[in-house]
Amino acid sequence: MNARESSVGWSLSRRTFLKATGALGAALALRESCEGVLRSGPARAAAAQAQPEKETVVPTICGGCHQNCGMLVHVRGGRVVSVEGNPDHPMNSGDLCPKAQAASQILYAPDRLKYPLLRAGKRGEGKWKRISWDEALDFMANKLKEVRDKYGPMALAMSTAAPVMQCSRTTFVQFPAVYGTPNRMSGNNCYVNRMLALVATFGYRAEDDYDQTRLILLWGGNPLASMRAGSYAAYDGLQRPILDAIERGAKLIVIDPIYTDTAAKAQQWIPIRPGTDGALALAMLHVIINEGLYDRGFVQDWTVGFTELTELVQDYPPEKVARITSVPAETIRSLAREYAITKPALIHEANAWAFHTNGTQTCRAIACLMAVTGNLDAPGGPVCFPGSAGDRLTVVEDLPPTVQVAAKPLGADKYRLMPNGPSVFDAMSSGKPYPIKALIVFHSDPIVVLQDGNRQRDVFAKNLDFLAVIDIFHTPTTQMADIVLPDTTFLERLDYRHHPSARGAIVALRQPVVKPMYESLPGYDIELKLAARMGFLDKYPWKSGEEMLNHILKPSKVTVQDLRKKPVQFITGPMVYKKYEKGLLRPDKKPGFATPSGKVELSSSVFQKAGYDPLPRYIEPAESPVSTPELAKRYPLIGMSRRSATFVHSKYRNIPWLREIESEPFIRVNPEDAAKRGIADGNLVIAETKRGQIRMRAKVTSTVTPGVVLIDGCWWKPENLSDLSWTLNALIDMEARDPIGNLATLSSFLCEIKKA
Amino acid sequence: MQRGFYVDTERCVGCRSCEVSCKQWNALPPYVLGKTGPRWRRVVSIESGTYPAPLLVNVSTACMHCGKPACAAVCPTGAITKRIEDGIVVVNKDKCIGCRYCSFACPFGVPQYGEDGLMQKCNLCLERVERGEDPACVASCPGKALHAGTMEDMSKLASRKAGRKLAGATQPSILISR
Repeated sequence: MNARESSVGWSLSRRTFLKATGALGAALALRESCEGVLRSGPARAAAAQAQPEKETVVPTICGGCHQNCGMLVHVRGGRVVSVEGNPDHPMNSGDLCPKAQAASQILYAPDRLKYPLLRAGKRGEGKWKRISWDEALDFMANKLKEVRDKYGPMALAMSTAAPVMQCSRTTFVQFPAVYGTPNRMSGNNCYVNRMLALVATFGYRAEDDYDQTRLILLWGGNPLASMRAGSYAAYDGLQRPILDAIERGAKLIVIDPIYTDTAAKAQQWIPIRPGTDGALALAMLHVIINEGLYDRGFVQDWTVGFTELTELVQDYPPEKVARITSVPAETIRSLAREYAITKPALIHEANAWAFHTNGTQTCRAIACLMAVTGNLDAPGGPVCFPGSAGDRLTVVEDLPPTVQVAAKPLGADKYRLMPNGPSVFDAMSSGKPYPIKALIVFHSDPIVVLQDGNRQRDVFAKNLDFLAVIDIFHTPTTQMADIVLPDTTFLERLDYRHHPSARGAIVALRQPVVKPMYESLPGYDIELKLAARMGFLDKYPWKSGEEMLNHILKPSKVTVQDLRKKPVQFITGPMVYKKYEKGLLRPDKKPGFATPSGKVELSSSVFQKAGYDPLPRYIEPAESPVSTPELAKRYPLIGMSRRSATFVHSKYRNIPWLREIESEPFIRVNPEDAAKRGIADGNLVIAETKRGQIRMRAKVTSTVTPGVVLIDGCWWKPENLSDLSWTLNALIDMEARDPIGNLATLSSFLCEIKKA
Repeated sequence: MQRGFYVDTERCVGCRSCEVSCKQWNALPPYVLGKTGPRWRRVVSIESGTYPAPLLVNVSTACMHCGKPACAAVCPTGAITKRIEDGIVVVNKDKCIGCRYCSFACPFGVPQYGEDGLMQKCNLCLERVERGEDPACVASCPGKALHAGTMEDMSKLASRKAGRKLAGATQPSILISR
């Protein structure tokens, strides 16, 4: 399938254009009756008249998603009037996504949390009493002392967000350690199991060297929608690296059940049955190894376990795997050959492996593909940029607490390599092996983001003695809290971000652009004030947010003060390739990879030692037409979750400019499946699994593989915080998990849809 | 001289950053309770084909700053004019009476009406352009898909990808490549 060579469908005549903008006319008619809660905005010239003060421009970094792009914030009279991309920041070179563009509406949102709130009704009732910070912190400290006295310190768990901003990696990290608990309910979704698989195989987290590659195999991700071309790497532009590579003549192949925004730019799209990617990787290895297309020199000198891998892949001939994956055997063969022969080539592996119950071994199989072709850390391959995870770290990214908790976290016995996460929820709901009685949620909305929000709500209500939530807005999770504390937005806080890049590791400053609004406080200040009340301060090597940041930045040899003078700094030299030959990957400075054997471990000693299969054998997803055929009779469709450029995770569904471009969640369904069920485009439909139901409108689209439905993920209704009918995770639960990664499925579950 | 846009659809990923950029830079009111506010820029996603060969093309559009603007031709009060120096079509709100003739005349559905009932639309970020900067939508485009400048420069850029000028009686100042 070659989208760019196809002649179908391309003629933007005026008629096509008018047809396409027909919706615009309708929208305009609607606008007539618009009551306009926010007053009609003046043009900038009028704003300048109203506020004649001089406009200043403050460089900082965005906090909308993990990229933390450079941002120039225009401030007039102490108010943010607009934002622009910073052309001098190596992450985005001036680009900004919709989330970043909406920054001023986030800052000035009328529904910001303004003051500490104490629950005044039943949990979930949404009744609050405004209290002072002193009252709030005293209340919180007393509750936490009560829980510790009654149940012991391990009865407290933390739930912090994905590291969209550095603060979720550094705030409330020291506090639980001093309190004496290792338990964290969040964190196992997303990349951590991929990191585990990659690091176990070759010791670092691969980033993509797009600028020198000839083939990009993009697998299980949609970077043109997430705007993350790498995992954390800066490429001097958000979409540039992939789009420029295509223009330069590199080939882009996308493997995905969905014809994504990224697939739309690819020369080849290979649709696949959700959750079977591991089998495809093994079939590719089958072809590459049996046809002798692997890099013999590299395999001999730098890998262990090739014989075992060779034996394993004999079980996965393309014909057999074609039946598993629904990718034709000939496509598998040509894909394997093209990937092995094209030099250099890279595989962009992505978050799908954190959404399936077999994801960790899928990622291991893909890591083996990267290795046997000799592309590791080579120009144009999957590389370890300066500052990448696994590079001898230049910045302490995860603040390690200076106090050690002796006890192992929950789940450590069953999930040896990946405790915590859902295991904490297990303990909270069952009381075994010991109860979880208090939860501090910082910058996170577990009811929407983790699985089965309805059940979480019940368990929070029944089993928690104390729930505190620190956020910038009310969310479905705040509704269950005893106390809600107002955090600052990224425009009101001091913080930093560090990025890997080919030009060197980067540290960038986030500086407060305006004073904290209302009574909001940065998370680290809340932590320190609480620590003071608990008598913990002597265990803190820092006494302020800035001191904490300097503590973290120490290895980079720059301070916050240095960054104030120059807010974006390279702290290392540029990329050195094939570091494994030069002794630059291992802490002991010997040549090789940072694995126990010093080699790329095709057969993983880390996995073996932990009691797992050292080889990346394929296992069917826990729920699929093959593994649960009876269930598939009732629920014949495979549900997947969608993300777009408009939102990240559960953030910002209450921000009007963003809701204008994406007003509600949709269930995307192929015309064939829609017709069978009498569903037309725009119909309200019910999606159902054995666990629950949600209701959204249908988008009937050929971009979805028949048999699959793509559901907008992480939605909630800002208009009604107790209504989870837009929340995909009502369809899934934490029961079946990846046995290694300890994560429940987010993106392959059996479901059925019907007209509402 | 005529200024205009060039949209490289091969690089447009449909993220709609340009839409929000336009709204925030020009301080336009947003969607409220299910109703859209004025949108000077809009990305149109055109889907065609059938599985397994679907096609998805995104085109970002705003006022076309036409060579022969139909809106200006029908405006009874002379509120809409075309600047001689750069061909940008501008609205003088002091003269606009909100009759909406322009919305019927424009073949592209460009004119928008705010709460004041008066016409508003893209002015190519006049102040930015006069400072020698790109309009807000272009400056922030993550795919570098959207370009603005003189039609001469835009034609040169577009010619590398066989871009074509959008045809039309009003002579829209926009080039599109696929």
